[in-house]
Amino acid sequence: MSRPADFVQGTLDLLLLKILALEPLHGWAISQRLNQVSDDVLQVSDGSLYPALHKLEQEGWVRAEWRATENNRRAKFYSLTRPGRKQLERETADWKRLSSAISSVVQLRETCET
Amino acid sequence: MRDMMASFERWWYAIRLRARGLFRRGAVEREIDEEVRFHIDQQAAHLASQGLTPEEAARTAQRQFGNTVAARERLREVDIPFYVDLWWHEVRFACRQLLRSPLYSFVTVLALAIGVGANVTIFSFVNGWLLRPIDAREPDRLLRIAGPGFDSIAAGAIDSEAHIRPADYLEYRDRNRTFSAIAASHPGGPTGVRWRGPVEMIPVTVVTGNYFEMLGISAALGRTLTSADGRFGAREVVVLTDAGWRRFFGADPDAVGTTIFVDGIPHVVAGVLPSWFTGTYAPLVPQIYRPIGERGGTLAFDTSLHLIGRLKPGATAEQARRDLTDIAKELADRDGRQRAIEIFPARSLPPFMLTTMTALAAMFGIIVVVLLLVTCDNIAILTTLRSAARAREIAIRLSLGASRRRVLFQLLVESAVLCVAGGGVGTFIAFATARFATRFYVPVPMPFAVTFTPDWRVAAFAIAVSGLALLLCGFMPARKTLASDLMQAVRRVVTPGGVQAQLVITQVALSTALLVAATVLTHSVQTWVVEAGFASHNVVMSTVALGSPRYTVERRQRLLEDALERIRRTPGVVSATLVANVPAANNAPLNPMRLRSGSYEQSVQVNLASSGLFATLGIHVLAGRDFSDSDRMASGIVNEALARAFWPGQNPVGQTVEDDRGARIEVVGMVRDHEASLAGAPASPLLYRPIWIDPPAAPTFLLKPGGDPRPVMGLAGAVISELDPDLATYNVMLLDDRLNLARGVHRAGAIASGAFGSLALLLGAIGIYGTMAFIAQQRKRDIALRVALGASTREVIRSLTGRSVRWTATGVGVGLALASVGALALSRMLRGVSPWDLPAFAVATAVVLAVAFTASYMPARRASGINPAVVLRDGNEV
Repeated sequence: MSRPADFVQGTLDLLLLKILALEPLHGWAISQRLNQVSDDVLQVSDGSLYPALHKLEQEGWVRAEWRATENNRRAKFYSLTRPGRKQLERETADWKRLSSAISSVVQLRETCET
Repeated sequence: MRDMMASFERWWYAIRLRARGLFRRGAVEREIDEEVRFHIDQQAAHLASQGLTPEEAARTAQRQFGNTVAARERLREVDIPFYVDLWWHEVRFACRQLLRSPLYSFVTVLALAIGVGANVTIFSFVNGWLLRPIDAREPDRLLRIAGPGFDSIAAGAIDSEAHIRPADYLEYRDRNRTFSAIAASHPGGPTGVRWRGPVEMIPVTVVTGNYFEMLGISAALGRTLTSADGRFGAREVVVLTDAGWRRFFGADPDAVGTTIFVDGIPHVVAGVLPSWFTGTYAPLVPQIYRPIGERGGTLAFDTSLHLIGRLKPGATAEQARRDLTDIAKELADRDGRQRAIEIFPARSLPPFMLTTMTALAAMFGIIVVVLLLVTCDNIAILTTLRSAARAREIAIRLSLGASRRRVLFQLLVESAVLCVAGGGVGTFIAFATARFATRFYVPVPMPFAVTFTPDWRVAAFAIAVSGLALLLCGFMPARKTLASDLMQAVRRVVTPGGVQAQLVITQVALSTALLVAATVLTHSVQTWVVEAGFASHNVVMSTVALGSPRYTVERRQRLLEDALERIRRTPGVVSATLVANVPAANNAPLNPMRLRSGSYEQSVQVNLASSGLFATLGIHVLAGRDFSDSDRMASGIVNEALARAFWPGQNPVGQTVEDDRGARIEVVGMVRDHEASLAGAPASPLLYRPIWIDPPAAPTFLLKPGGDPRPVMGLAGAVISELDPDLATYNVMLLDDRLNLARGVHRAGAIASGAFGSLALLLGAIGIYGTMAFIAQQRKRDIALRVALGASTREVIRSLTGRSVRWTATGVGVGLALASVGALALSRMLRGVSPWDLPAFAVATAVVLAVAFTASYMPARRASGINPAVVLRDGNEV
């Protein structure tokens, strides 16, 4: 049985964009937030979190800047750009389509079984 | 709109990010480290706040994050464009590999430098001479207009229809419908110019008043010429080029308005031209321009003119050609003289030099391209050998999982590094050569300027040549290497197979062909030098300029007769003569004339001479006599070619010919054919007439001294200025020097092709030597066994060299066949080159064989001296 994280991998971009849509955060805070909101179901390894963030930055969906944290340490904060917000809308729509399709498939299987 | 801005911002940000990854890799890597460290510290702090000890927290945070090295590597892959990294890595790897075999790298770079350098050198000459546009506004709208046979001076056969006559120019200028302006010019002979100092003989280029306006050149100081200049009653003016201005006025800005004397006549300096303007007679640069007088619908000029026209907007060259041809037909209908028109794109090189220069350029172009092929072939040989030696390394890399593409890419990067290095060095050599070549002193009366500014064309050419070399010498060996069998390679059994034989044979063949061509050329030039057709040794020449309107025909006659008389009376002068065109030096164009005798009619060249020409130059008078000083209009002396053409098998003396006006000329003598042109053409019909009938504006005195020519060098000049202080002589030099100068182009060509041939030979030797050395190395074990079993040195050498002897023989055979074709082509392009020059073929073949033998013998000899015990114990890799 595979962990849910593997499945989530492909939609990691969507999750990151969604989290950053609320407020700019640094990498560690993003991983914390991801664990919190998914009740630790979506545990993204730190090794894949950062490359994903950097890819989003290369795409121009998010923008990074070095700022001081509340503890006065320099950290790289990521924030959503306007094209990133557009991208989030697109991916959200895609996700909804996909998940409704999958859930209907899953339901189809259940009705056949019963 | 906002969306557009946003997406623009997005792209801009992304580009900046990538640029950072490209150029500031250090900073990007530091930030990655900092980000990872921050994460771990933060996690540790978080864990500590949940009750772990600081040490435990740090350890756990580290463990949770996982492999930081791998994470950093993944981030680098995202942030730093991978290809930069890949390229950089491959280039560094290639450099390391190349440094590991310094001899191979050195020889390859050297060979490439030679090949590319030779090509770029030739191309910069072509670029500077043949392709360079005229210094003018919109030079691509300019056309040169010439009569047919425009190149006849170079070809040595002058036709009466060759040039555009001043009267015709006016017709073309006024009646055409396709040009906004047509201007005419003539480079002009040396003229006496005086300002404060003594008279200086410099060429004064004559141009029509609209010349500068047509070119679109405005003056740097004062004004240029206008159509009003030269009209009847206008003040006589000149325009100085920058060089002339510096020469006469030391760049004094007050020069404009000053009066200088040209031919003893006062002229006002109207203006100075910009320094970048080099005129339309490349490679010569005029110093003074004078307007051609136009009076009452005729030009005050009696020699042929060079025309340049500017097309009207929208008009094409073809329309212009038809337009002018129509006018030419009408003119022919009017006076019965056939005319034709040729149109050329206006390059800075005038058309009468175009054909010769193009032929030379084509010849050298072919030679250097062949040389480049030899170079590439050579490098291909060396690279295949090297790859064969590296087959084991490559095979191991392949079996360890490197993709074939990756290995091929790596081999190509190596070739690319070599090509960049070789191309760079070659281009540098080319520029150095061009610069050196232009510094040669050329004793012509006009300053000589060839522009070799390395422009974008030369740079593009150098890159293209290097790229071609890369393709030729990089790809083939790389493919060959990859095609070889993995297992065989690992077992170290690699032999350079068929491809290698082909490469070596090609190499030998091309080297042979080049060397033969070079030898044939050099040999031909020697032939020309020997067969000048007359004795020029120690003869002194001095030309006097009598172009001034002050000198009428009668005054010229009187002055020249006086001067010749005084020169002949001077002790130390054995003989002296006066001639219009010095044979073989071609200092003044000959006037062609149509002659008729009975029903036979032909156009022949006419030269003018006083008595004593044939004695001075040692030309045999075969029948009849030399001119006497009382000969006037009616007598003529012919050469054998003319006699053969007009009266085959008869004695020409006593015969008469009629000129085109019906005047009768009686033949009083016949002289041996002598070279009238330099290209080694068979003598063409030539008629000498007494110079006194119409003394030319620039006749030349030829003096033959009894012994040392130095005391009489200045004699003609001294006599002339005694008779008229406003006159001076020029071209004062030994006739031999003058002939050598005229032969210079051909001689330089022969020297250059000799040099190219030697380079090709050197490359060929490298190729054969490298191959033989490799084979000897590969067969070391084999040889050791034979030596151990008692084979003699000689037997070992024979077994090794046998293969290369076969290759060489095949290569030489193919090369000789190529060379025959080449020599045939050469003999078409340059007259005087014999296509069946057997001694040249023999010498070149002998040299190639000797070099090839040495190159294959030396490695064999070394291989035969090995110690079998050592080799057999240690294996063949020593």
